[in-house]
Amino acid sequence: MLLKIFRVFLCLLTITLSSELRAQSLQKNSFYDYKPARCAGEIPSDFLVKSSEKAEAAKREIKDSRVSRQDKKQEFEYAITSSFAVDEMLSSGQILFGDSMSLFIQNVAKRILESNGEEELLKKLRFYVLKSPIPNAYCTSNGAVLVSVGLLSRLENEAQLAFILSHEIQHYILKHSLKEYKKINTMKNASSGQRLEDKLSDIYNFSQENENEADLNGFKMMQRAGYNLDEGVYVFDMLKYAEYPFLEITLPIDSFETEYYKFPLSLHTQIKEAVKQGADEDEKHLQEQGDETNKTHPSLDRRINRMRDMIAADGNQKGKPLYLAGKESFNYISKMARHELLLLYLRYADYGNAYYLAEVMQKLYGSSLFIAKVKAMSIYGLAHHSSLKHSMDKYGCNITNSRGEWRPLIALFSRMDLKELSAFGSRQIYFIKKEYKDDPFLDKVSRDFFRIVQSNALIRISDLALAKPQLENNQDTTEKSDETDNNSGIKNPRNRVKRNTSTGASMGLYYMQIFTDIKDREYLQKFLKEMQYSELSKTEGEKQDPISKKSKPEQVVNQMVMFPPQIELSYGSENKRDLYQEEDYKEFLVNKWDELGDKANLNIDVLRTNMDQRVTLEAINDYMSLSDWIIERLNNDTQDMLLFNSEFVKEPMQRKNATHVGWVSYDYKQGQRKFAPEYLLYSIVFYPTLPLYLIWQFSKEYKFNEYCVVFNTQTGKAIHVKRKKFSSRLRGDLLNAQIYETLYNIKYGR
Amino acid sequence: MKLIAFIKKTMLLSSSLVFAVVALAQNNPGYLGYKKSVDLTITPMFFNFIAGGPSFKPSVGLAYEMATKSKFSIRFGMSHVNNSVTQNNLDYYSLALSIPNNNGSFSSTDFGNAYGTFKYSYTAFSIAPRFFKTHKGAVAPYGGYWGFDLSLGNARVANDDNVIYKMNDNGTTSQRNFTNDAWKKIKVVSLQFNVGKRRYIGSSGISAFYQMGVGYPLWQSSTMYLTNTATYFANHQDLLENAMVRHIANGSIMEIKFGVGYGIK
Repeated sequence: MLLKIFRVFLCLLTITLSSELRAQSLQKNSFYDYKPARCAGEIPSDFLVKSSEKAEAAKREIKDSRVSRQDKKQEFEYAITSSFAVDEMLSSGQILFGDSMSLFIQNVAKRILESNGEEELLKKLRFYVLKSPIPNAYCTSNGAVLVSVGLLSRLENEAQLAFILSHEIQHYILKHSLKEYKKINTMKNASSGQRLEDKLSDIYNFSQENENEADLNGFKMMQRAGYNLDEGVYVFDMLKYAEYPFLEITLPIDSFETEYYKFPLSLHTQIKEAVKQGADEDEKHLQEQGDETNKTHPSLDRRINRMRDMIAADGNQKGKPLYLAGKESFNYISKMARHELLLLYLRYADYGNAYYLAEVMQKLYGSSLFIAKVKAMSIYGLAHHSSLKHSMDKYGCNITNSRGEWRPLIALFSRMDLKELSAFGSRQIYFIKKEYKDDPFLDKVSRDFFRIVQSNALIRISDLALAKPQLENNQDTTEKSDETDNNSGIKNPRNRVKRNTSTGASMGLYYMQIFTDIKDREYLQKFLKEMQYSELSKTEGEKQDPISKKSKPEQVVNQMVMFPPQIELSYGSENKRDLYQEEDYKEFLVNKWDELGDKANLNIDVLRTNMDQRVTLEAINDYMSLSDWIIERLNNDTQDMLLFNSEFVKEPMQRKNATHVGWVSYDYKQGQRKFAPEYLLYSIVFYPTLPLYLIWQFSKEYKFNEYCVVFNTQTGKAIHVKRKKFSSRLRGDLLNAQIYETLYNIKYGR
Repeated sequence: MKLIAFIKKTMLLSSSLVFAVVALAQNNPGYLGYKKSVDLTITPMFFNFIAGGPSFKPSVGLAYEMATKSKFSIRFGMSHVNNSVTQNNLDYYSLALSIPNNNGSFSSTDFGNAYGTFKYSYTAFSIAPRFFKTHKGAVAPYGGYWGFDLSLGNARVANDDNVIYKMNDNGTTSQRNFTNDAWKKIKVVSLQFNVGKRRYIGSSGISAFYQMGVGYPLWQSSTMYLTNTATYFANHQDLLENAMVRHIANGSIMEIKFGVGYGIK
């Protein structure tokens, strides 16, 4: 009996301890080695119903309403446009649901609506997080509330979120987007090639009048919910400083200098000038924020003043709560949003900005593996693009756009040449690697970074370790030859570089002193030895140029994961899109790629995220992981770079037993041919061809494009990049032929 | 020995050519993997009115098309037609029958609006490179194309009674029959430029196509002559030759071809 009790006790103890340990590890893992947030829980109804069905339901509602025929027509058009545009955004892989951030937003909204007696409204609204660094929020006409990661990361407390939600919900209640649509009386149909977020901004862009109305009613809503109203003012302040970092630290470039490693005066001067010039631009920018000319939104200053008047009427806000749902929960989601924001900066290859924010986060939340990874990746990304002579402006080093305290660092990154940047990065990577020795990702990044240092920046890293203080070096210079010793005025041009027998010709350069102050010389030597890279040590396979046709090995892809094919069909001179037909074609294309993959002996796993009952949470999350990866890949215009998100696509790709991911998009335009006077002239001169010209001129013009990109997610290399252009009518057998040809070319690497 | 060496070389060259074409075909996706096609063709002779008025009796053919690249295919074909043609207006050819007199002179009879009927059989073998319009979405052998048809045809002529040619001077004078000992032959080499389109029915591999072409006879042999026409002069033979050759070869000056094909992977 005792034994039995002991066993039960042991079991319980084990379970308790293991769950405790798991909880602790989860807590630690959640931010220590942060992984991107994914969707969780029940799939919202938005994802289970086809866009056409949603549009039809909206149309039925309009049909029953008592409005004029003209109004009805406009409302029908609006219902279709907005239903499809919102669904396009929802199914883009950039929307989170069921995660901590979305649940918190939902919780806050619930409190606001319940305290306003709007319980029914709560059933109609759905809350999502939009993975975008731009601080913004939307409430769509069909009740989807989107709050961006950029906005969440900037919020200081729950009351600010409550104000934003109240404001957005008011846009929904007051049907502002429909009113705006009717007023403009044009189809705000997004043009092809436009970013999804921009399409949404276009549709949900309100007039000054509507914004004021939403501010006023939102204020009342927040008032009834009992939040501290002062925070509404701070929300506007936050929007005013949207182009600044969410939090700032002063990071002068001197802070990277050591006793021996000092930036030259010329670099200091350049940076000072750039910062000063930027500061003047900032002043202008802030003044523009207050200017209402040519703006749809009222100026932020005007909104702030109005808000202050309303608050004054309400009385003293002291003692009114900033948190109702919970401070801890808010801090948690705020931290999460900031981690997500760092991931977004990496995804968009804004490495300069990402590095600065990583420094801020380190100060704010302490060191972590995640922050170390972000810093290492940023340094690596900058060095990589610098080695390819890319414009650093594209990689988070735009001095003008980086307003605020991150400017000196951004200016430093953009002004340093590859050698300087390589030396600077070597030190950062050295310290990161010293702290996180065993992380495989950091190891890969470090090795590839030092490959660039050696093979592109042409710095012998052993020289870095041998560098000694300048004074000693000067004493160590070799004897000059007799020819240049005398005072005859004859000089050796090579004397421009100080000579040193131990460290080579480059010793005279300031950046070679990057490790001079390091005390632990033994570890430094060992580290740099580990990072040694030699062209000779490359295998034959590595030596081959991956994109050179001549050296391209016969490549056979047998398994591939595909994003759901995209298609845009537009007709007439106005390029009016047929959204219903697009939906049918999307479904058709998913099946076609699947079916033809079998015929081409290429197993295609199309991620079925088209909105209908068959969509699964796993497919949505896999799609999200892969779209994050592909965004990062596309923003880095290079074949050879390691990608941060490659860590996060491993699991879904392994599950699908694939290494390649493909993305395909079609666009088809059918319209009247433009008048071609030169052909008319030719046909008049060669008059027998006139009938042919007339047939040609009055026949319809077809433009059909297929864009296809296939990447190897292990190497990040694009194995197939093709744009096909046809002037042909869209037909089933044409699609058959083209899809099969594309599959064949992918399979055999042609 | 030289002859044997020549035959060997020729065989080696032709077989390596076939292998090269087959090997090239492996690099092409084709239509859903269908890179080759066996076709049954039908060519109504709509346009040979130039020689003798429209005739709807079609030429039938068999062809084998092999796509070597997405934009290129080569086609080997054979076609055959049996037809009879009435030459209505021989005036056009200034037909006159000259009969030698005993004194060595000739008496000439003008047939005026004479007509003649003859029957011919024509078999042609062709080789046709085709260039597919990939900018229109074609993937050989699917889709629109343009190309050339180089054909070698062999025509044999006779009527049902083994009478080569029958002339009748407007039904007023006596009919003259010129009988033949055997089939008479003529070879024609012609080149045709054509455009066409092949479309597949679903993924079954069965296709339908049409082709329009304009051609020109490059060369013709003049071996045909009439053995039993002692009273004839060469100009009459030329006339007959011309009439038939025009009928056959000029038939391909403008041609419309229809066909169905069966795809092979």
